[in-house]
Formats: sequence, structure tokens, C-alpha cells
Amino acid sequence: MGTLVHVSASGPEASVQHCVDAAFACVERVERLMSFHDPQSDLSRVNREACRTPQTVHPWTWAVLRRAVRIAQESAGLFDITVAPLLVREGLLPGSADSSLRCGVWRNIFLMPERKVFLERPMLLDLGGIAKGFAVDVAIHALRKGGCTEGVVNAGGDLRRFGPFPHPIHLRRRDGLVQVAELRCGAIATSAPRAVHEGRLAQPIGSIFDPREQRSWSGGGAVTVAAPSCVIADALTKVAALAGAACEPILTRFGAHARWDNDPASIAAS
Amino acid sequence: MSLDLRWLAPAAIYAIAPQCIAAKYMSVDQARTLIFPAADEYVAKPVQLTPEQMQEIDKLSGVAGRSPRQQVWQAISKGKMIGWFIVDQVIGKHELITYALGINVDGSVRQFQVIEYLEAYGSQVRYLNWRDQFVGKTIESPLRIDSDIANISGATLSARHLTDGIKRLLFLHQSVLR
Repeated sequence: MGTLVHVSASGPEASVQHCVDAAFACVERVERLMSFHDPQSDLSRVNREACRTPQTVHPWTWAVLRRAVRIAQESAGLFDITVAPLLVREGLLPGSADSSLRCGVWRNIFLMPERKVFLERPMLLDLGGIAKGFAVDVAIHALRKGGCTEGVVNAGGDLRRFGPFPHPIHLRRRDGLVQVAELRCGAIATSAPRAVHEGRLAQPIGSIFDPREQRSWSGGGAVTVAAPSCVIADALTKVAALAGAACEPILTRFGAHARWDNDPASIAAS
Repeated sequence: MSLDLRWLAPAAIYAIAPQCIAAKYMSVDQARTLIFPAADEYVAKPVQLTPEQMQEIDKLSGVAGRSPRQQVWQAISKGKMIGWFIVDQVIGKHELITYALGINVDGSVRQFQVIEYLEAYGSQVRYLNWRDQFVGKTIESPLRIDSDIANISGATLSARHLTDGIKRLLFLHQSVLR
């Protein structure tokens, strides 16, 4: 996923270590299933074959695709997992020149019975804007199922926690940390597409593509979305960044809230 | 699945950002509840040590105290005293660590909690398995890093200073709280 994953948990001593291992195993599994880069992944198989024959996918891939399509529907295409050819064109994802011909929109994705995926035309799906949130969710479920009383999973700014007490959530900025909220249980995700790590990366650390403009979103600052699950928070940061405060009715439908921060020094939640 | 979140006021968010990675992990009330879940009342018993008492505690524990004043509470459950609750500070590497120690009536450690940690590194001292080593320790215990308390690589100074702080509080309990 190209990010650090941080897991911490407390609970009965005998099970905590086991739970944390299980949580990391879940994250790795999501990566294996949904990586755009790995030709063996479920997703790569869908990208290669699903425009010819419907492909059966793993229940987790299925869960992510279903949510992605639902969010695309609710946001009228502001969130769209079919923007991958644009990312290839910009050099952010690997691919050949003919990738740019493989264009479709979310409406061309068909989710059929028995977890079969069919693409109406040749196109490329990329779950980069949602799978990380899902990985955090399954890791949290592993901690809960194992009997932990408190747990936090943070994958580069996509964070979910549960526990008896509220904990501070900080926004990392170039000049330090700023507390933005207190979270007892639930998820928080941040997107700060223009943020550049000074002196370390020449490129922005994240990108949001605007399906309306067919190019990189040019807004600045950061948006932070809180939601009951991280998969929703992760995906909705893109909607919230592109639509601004106008998307609040959409967020409400998913039980989410957003905060916008126009200060370009903002980087990511931690 | 649920969301239990409180946003801070925007003014608080955009105030000047702190320069170091500070974390307040819990309030004093939360620490009390974690250490003495059964207690229904806390009676404040602030301690003001005389210079002689300070000296005596320093000598017995082998650890120099930082201040003659100490924030102390008695934890009471159903009218009966079940232990002492002390909030104290020690230096980590450069900054203060605020922690709370619960002491049983018999003078053994009940548990401790890190309330606030102001340094960028070394917050592993908060981990339960490290803190659990202190449970049941008394003034008879060596309370020394690498002897009865495991060191934490990357948090050596924080671990050592917390261990010293707890040792000193146990002697303070023996000298003035019994």
C-alpha cells in the first residue's frame, strides 16, 4: 500500500500479541487481493479478464467493490474507481500506453450474483482510494474478535479505533501536530493531496483525481472525514475534497462528518 | 459499528501548532478509574514534605525528589480506604512525564498509568506488559532496570526515570502516608 501501518491494542495478555499478528495478516491479505501493481491480485485479474468473462472475486474484494459502486452512485461519480487510466497517464500507476484507451465510468461496472464482476468495456479499476480504509476495518475486526478491549489501526492517515475512553486525534502538519478531535470509537481519514514532505519527496504524497475535469485536483489544504467505518471515511475524503461543503448531505447518508482545513501545511491524521 | 467523536472548535485546531510530539493519554480522573475501578470516592491528601522528610526519602530510595509538594488522594470504596493514588512527574529525556501511581493499603504497587508524555520517543513505557512488571512491587523490591524491571530499547531514560520515580513514591508512602 506504500504506507506504514501502525497497530496497537490492549486486552488479556495471552491474546494481545496474537490479535496484533492477526490484524497485520488481514492488512497483508487485503494488499494481496487488491493491489493494482501485483499481477496476481484479484483486482489485476478483474482488470485483465472481466471485460470478456465475469470474474468471481474474494468476498473482501467484493465488499470493497460494492461499497465503491455505492459511493460512486451516491456522489454522482465524484468518487470513481475507474480513474486508473488517468493515473497511469500521469505516471502515478504503472501501465502501458494503451491503458489510456481503457476508459469507462463506474456505471460500466456490473456486480452480478455469486460475487461475479463484469466490466462492460475494457477499463482499469484502481482501489487505491478505498482499499486502505477497508484494510484498517478488517484489522480492527481481528482485534475485536480476539477479545481486545482497546485497539487502534492507523495506515498512513486512515485511522480507526475502539475502546472505553476518547483519545485525541492529531493532524500532522509541517510545523508539528495539531489536535483536531477526540475519538472514542470510529474512523478518521485525511487526504492532503498537495502536501509535500519538505526536502524528502519531490512529488505530492497523495493525489486526488477529479473525474469531472479528468485531471489532478488542484485544491490545497486537507480534508478530514470521520465515519463509523474506515472504508467509508477513506472513500469519502475524495468526495469531500472535490465537492467541498456541498457534499454534506452525501456524508450524512453514510453517517459521516467532514472538516476542511485550507492551510497548505496540513499533512495527515495520526 | 458506531462513531463516537467530538470535533474541537476550529479556533483550537488552527492555533499555533506545538513544536514537539506531545501526547496527553488520559485525564487524572481516567487514570484513577483505571487504577481503582472499585473506588467511589477520592479524598485529597496533599503532602507537603519538610526538608528533613525530603532528605530521608531521598536517602532511603536513593532517588532525589523534585518537589516537596506531592498530589495525593485516598481511594475509598464503600467507606473503606482501599489505597493511595499519587500523581507525580519525572524527567523522561528532556521533558516531564506525568504519571499516576496506585499503591495498595499494604504498600505494594497496584498499577501505574502514564498521563502525559511530552517526548518524541520512548512512549513504549505506556505498554501494559512493561507497566505490569511493577504490580506488587514494594520497598523491598530492587526496582532496578535490567534487574527486576526490563529495559526498553529506545526508551532507556524514560524507563529508568519512571522506575526511580515509582521507587521514591513507595518510600514516600512508607515514610508519611502510613
